[in-house]
Amino acid sequence: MKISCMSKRATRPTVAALMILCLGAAAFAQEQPPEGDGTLPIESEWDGSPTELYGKGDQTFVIALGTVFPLFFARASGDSIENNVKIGGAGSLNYNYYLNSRFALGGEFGGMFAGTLGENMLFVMPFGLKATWHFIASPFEFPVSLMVGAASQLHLENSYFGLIVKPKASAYWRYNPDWSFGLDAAWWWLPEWTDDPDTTVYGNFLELTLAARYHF
Amino acid sequence: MSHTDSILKTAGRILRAGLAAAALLAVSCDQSPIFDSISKETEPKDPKVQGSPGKIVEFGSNAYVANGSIFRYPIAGSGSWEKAGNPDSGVFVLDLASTGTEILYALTAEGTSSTTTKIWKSTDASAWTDITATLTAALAGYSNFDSIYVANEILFIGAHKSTTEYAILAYDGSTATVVLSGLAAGGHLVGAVRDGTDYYAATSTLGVFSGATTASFGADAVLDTTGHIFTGLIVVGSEVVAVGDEILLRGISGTVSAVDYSDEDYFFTGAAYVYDSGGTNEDILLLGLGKTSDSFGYLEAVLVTDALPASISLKSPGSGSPTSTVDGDQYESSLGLVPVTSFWRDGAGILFVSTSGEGLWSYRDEEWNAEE
Repeated sequence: MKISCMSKRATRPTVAALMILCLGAAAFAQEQPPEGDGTLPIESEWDGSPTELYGKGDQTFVIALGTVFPLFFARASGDSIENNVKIGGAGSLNYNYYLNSRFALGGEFGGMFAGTLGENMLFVMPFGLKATWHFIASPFEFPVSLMVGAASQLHLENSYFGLIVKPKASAYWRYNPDWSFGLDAAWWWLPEWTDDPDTTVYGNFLELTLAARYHF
Repeated sequence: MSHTDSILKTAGRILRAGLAAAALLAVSCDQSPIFDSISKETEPKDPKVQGSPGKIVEFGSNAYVANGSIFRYPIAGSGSWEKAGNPDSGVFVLDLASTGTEILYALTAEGTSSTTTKIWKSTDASAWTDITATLTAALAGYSNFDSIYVANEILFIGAHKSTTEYAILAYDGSTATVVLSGLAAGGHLVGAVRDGTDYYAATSTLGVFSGATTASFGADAVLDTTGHIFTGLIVVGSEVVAVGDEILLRGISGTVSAVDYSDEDYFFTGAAYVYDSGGTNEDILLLGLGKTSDSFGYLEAVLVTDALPASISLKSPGSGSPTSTVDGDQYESSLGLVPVTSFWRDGAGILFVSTSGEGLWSYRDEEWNAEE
């Protein structure tokens, strides 16, 4: 939702919010002490109501690019094993639709690549649904999200398709009504379950990205 | 349409394309344990013998290999590859061949960009004698030497005088003999062996020729090779095994038959070696892979009582038993990515391989890596 004049793209919640603001201002103006008899005092019903930055129907589109750090590989037993993955690159696109002022649902598609000790390459391409909760301290926003989906993983001629769980915490600065910019930190949890428990491995990565978020 | 709307539509298309690609990959994935495989990777070493070494041959108490320069290594093991002297200053050693104890042969070029080739012999791997004149005197005009192999202490030399005129010569240590001449394009010599009674010489596309002596080779190939390429020969038990593209062929009691591998897409480099796995009757034929649809490295065929079984199945190193490699994942992420062109094993059981472009490798401490 935009907090300036919205022109043609103004949505219903936006207009409602503007009306709230206008009514609030009018109420404030009319709550001055009456200057004479015959003037009826009006008690505002909106007094004290916060101005919400987001409303139902607001949407954001985010593009993020950055780095992925290998954390550790763990066996099903909990034992850590050599992960042999080097620092790589990562990026993602995600879309969010606000159901209320704090909560949004959306989808995400991304990818990462990283070299390995044996001078080979690991590619992971996750996609999934995500839920986001917003903490706001204007002009800063702190979305916290959880993506659950699937990831295609490629290494040499081998491939694996499986679950990914990706919790993420972000910090954004609202540059203007259209754009905000910030930093994302996401944990990638990639379990590779196999028929042989001895080859089951839980992959863990940390993704740090710079993100640009468009609001519409 | 506003600029912003255009950006959003483009972004939406990218997102949808990405999801479609991911879904496609999901369908095609084979569920290999990738992280487990990565955890077994090893850091590549710098090979001491770099580039594309030729055949690894035994001569006296040492093994020799050449990548332009000649290197030697004690057959007994417990040593390292050290440079040995080249036959002459300024020559680039292309390949070696050995009778085992009597003579070491070297094929050289005059510098790396010259087409002038020579063949040398040595009885001590130190003092070298140029035998080029003897060879060219036996067959005038065929002065470009392509390849050398030893079978039963006879040196077989592939030579050509033009791209459509090939010949095979033989040299017994003092005298040169013309085995075949006037071979058409495809007559490039790729291997020579003796099975106890006959000599066999394989050419690139003209087939495998045979004769009881080097002077009695038939003009017709003993194997129809129409449409196929040969890359090497080896004797396994009493059989001559020829390897090439897509097929593995073998001769039994003087006849030659094809082993059908029509379901596969193999291309063998010509490297072949009988590997003793240590068990009783558990030898393995190792075959170097130049390229297949999904890997390089080499494949294994388990022998039965030192011979190829009636039905041959090829498998990757590290799979099944017996095998030459303990850890198949470590192999797949290292040597499995490199074409293998020659095998040799020292007295301590260390397996060495020449590779195409990645130098000399070895299998030490259950790990494939370049030999430092």
